[in-house]
Amino acid sequence: MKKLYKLFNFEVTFTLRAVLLVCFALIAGQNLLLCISNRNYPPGRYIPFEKLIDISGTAIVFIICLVLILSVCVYSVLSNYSGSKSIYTLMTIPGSRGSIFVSKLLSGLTGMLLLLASQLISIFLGYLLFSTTFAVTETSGLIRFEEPVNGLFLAFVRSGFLRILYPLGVGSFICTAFMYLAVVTGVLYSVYCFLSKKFLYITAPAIQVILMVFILAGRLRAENPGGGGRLYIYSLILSVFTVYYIRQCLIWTKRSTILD
Amino acid sequence: MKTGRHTALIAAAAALAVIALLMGIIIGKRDNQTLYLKDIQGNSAFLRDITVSGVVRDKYHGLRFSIRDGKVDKNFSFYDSESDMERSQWSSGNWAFYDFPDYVYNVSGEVSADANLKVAETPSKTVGDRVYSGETWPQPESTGEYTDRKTLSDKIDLYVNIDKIGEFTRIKFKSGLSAKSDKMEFEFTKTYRKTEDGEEVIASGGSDSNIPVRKGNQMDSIVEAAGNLYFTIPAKKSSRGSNGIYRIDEWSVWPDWDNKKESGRVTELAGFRQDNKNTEVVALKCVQGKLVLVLLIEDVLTFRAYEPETGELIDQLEVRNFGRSEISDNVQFFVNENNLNLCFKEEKDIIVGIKLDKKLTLEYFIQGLEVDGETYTYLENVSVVNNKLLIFCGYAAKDSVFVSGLRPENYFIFAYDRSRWDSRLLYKGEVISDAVQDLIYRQQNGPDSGGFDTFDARRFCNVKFST
Repeated sequence: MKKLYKLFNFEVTFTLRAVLLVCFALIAGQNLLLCISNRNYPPGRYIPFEKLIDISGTAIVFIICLVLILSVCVYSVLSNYSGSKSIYTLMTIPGSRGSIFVSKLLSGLTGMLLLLASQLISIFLGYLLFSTTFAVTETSGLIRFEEPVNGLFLAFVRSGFLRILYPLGVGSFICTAFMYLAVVTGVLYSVYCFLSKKFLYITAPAIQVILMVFILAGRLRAENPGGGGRLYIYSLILSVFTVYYIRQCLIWTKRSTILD
Repeated sequence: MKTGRHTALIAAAAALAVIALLMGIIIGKRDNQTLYLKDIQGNSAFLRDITVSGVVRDKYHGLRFSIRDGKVDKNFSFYDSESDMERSQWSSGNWAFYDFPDYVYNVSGEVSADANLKVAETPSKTVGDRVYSGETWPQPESTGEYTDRKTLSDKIDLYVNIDKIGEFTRIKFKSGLSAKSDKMEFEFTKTYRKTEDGEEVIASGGSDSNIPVRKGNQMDSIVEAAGNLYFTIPAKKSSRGSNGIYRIDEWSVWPDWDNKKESGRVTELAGFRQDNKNTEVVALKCVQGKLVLVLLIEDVLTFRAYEPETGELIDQLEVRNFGRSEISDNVQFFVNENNLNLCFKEEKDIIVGIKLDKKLTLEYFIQGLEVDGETYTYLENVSVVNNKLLIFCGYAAKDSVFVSGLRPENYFIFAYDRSRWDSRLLYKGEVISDAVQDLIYRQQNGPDSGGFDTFDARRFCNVKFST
C-alpha cells in the first residue's frame, strides 16, 4: 500500500503541471467562446443558457482538453519505457508490481476529476458572466434585468452535453461513471497493447469506442429507446470492459510482458 | 514540479470537493421552480378541502407538485430518456397531441359503386421517368406510362382505418355510411401507372377531401373497454346510412392487408341510423367500464350508455338546453371515475358533466369560463370533487404565436358550485409558474429559434383534483 501511495503521488506530481494547464485552458477557452456567442444576444434578447452552450462550441473545447488529459496519461506510461527506462527502477521498489499500473490508473482518474471540476467552474463562471436576460426595464432611472428563474439548473437538465457529464438521474450517473472509467482504463490498456505489440488485443477498445459512440448519440438527444433502464445494461457492459482492461494490464505488468 | 508528499491526495480531494460543492448547489436548486396559487376572484377557502396535484414537465425532467390550503409541495424527477416522461391524459385529432398513442384512427372516403363520376385525365409523364419539380428522376426496371386522374364523384362510402402503432396490423372497415353531394364535391386525385402487361396500378396520391366526419375528435371515437377495442364513426350530419358501435375481433397483419378494400374482422355491437334526424356522432368514451356514445341530434346533446359485452342500451340522457345545432371539431373529454366531463370549444366554452351509476344524470352545465378579453382556453382537467366542479385550464392570447401549437401561457383554476343548475363561480385563481418562461425564446427569436419540439418546453400535465 505504501508503494502504491508513493507511486500514485509520483505519477500525479509528474503530470500535475500539464493537467492544470489543460484545466486552465478549458476554462479560458470555453468562456472566450461563450463571450463571442453572447455578443449576438444583447440585454433583452434571450437565449437559454443550454442553447448558448450548444452554439458556442464549448463541448468541442472539452473534447480537446479530454484528449489532452488522456495524452498526458499516455505520455506518463510511454516515458517509463523510453529514454532512461525508469520502469526498471520502479519495478525494483519493494511491493507489488501491479501498483505501477494502479498508480497510473489513479493518476489518470485524478486528471479526469480535475478536468471535470474545471468544467464545472467554467460553466458556473460562464453563466455568471454570459447568461442572457428576457427583458430590460427602466424604472425611475434604475435598470432592471428580468432573468430566467433557475436558468443554470435548467441548463444542467436540458443541455445534452451537461446531461452526459453531470447527470442528475441514477441510471445516467452510473452510466457516466462507467464511461469515465472505461475511457481511462481503455486508453491505458491500449498503450500497454501497443508497447507489448499485442495489436490484436486492441479489438476490445475498438468495440468499446463504437459502443460509446452509440450510447453518447442516444443520450445527447435524450432518446434512449427502452427508457432509462437500458442505461444500466450499458453500464454493465462498460464495467465488463473496465474489469477486463484492469485485469489484463495487471497481468501484463506483473509478468513484465511489456519488457519482453 | 517540486511538490509535497501528499500532492496526489490534495489534488484528488480538491477536485472532488469542487465537484461535490458545485453539484450540491445545482441539486439544491432542483425544487426552486416558481409555483404557487394566486387568488384572483372569490374565496380560496373553497379549495381548503381539495388537493391539486400534477406535474410540470418537459422531456428532460418533471416537477411533481401538490397544492393544498395554499401550501405547495414539490418533487423533482430527472428523465433519463424521453420515454420516461409522464404521458398526458388527453388526446385530440387523429392521434394524441401530447401523448404517445397506441392507435391511429382515421376515416377515409372512396367512390361509391353507384356514384356519378366525372373523370379528367392528364397523361403528363415520360415513359420510364418521373418529373418532380422540374427534375427528372429515372425509374427502376419497370417502366410504364403515368397518368394523373382527377375523379369527381357525387357519392362516397366511408371507410374506417385503424393502425396499431409499432405493429404492422390494421383494420379497414367499410361502414354503412355514405355521403352524397349535388355539386360533385368529392374529389380524388391519383396517379396511375400502366405496366408492360397493360395493368393499371396506383403509383401515388390518393387524396380525398370533404369527408363528412369530425376531424378534431377522431381519436375520441376509439376506446378500450372490457378487454376489447371499440370504435364508432364521428360522422357529421350530412352522412347518411347506418352507424353504430363496433368491436374489433381480429386485426389483419401485413402484408395480408396490402392493397385490399377491407381487412380485419369487426362486429357491430349496437347500430343506429343517421338518415332521418340531423345527427352528428361526437365521440365514444368508456366510463366505469361502460361505453358512452356522445351525439348531437338536432340541437340536443345526447348521451347513450351501453353494456360493452352485449351492446344493450343502459340509459339515454338528453341535454335539451344545449341549444346548438353546430359545434366545432374541438371538444375535450375528461373521464374521472364515473364522471364524464366535456368541454365544447366555441366562442364561449360550454362545459358539461354527466355521471353514470345505474343511470345517466346531468351533473352540471356551464357556459363560458370567467376569462378576461379575447383568450383561447385549453382544459387540462375537469372534475367533480366534494360537490364542487373544479377546472384546471391554460390560456394563450388569441393573437399569440402559440395558439395553434396549444402552448398555454397562463394557468387557472376555477371552482364552481354544483348545487345550482347554472353553476355559480366560487373561486378563480392563477397558478403562477416559471414554466411559461420556456416560451420566451421562441417568442423573441421566431424562425431563428431552430425549430420547436413540443416537449422542449415545460407544461402542466396530469393535473388532478382530490380530497
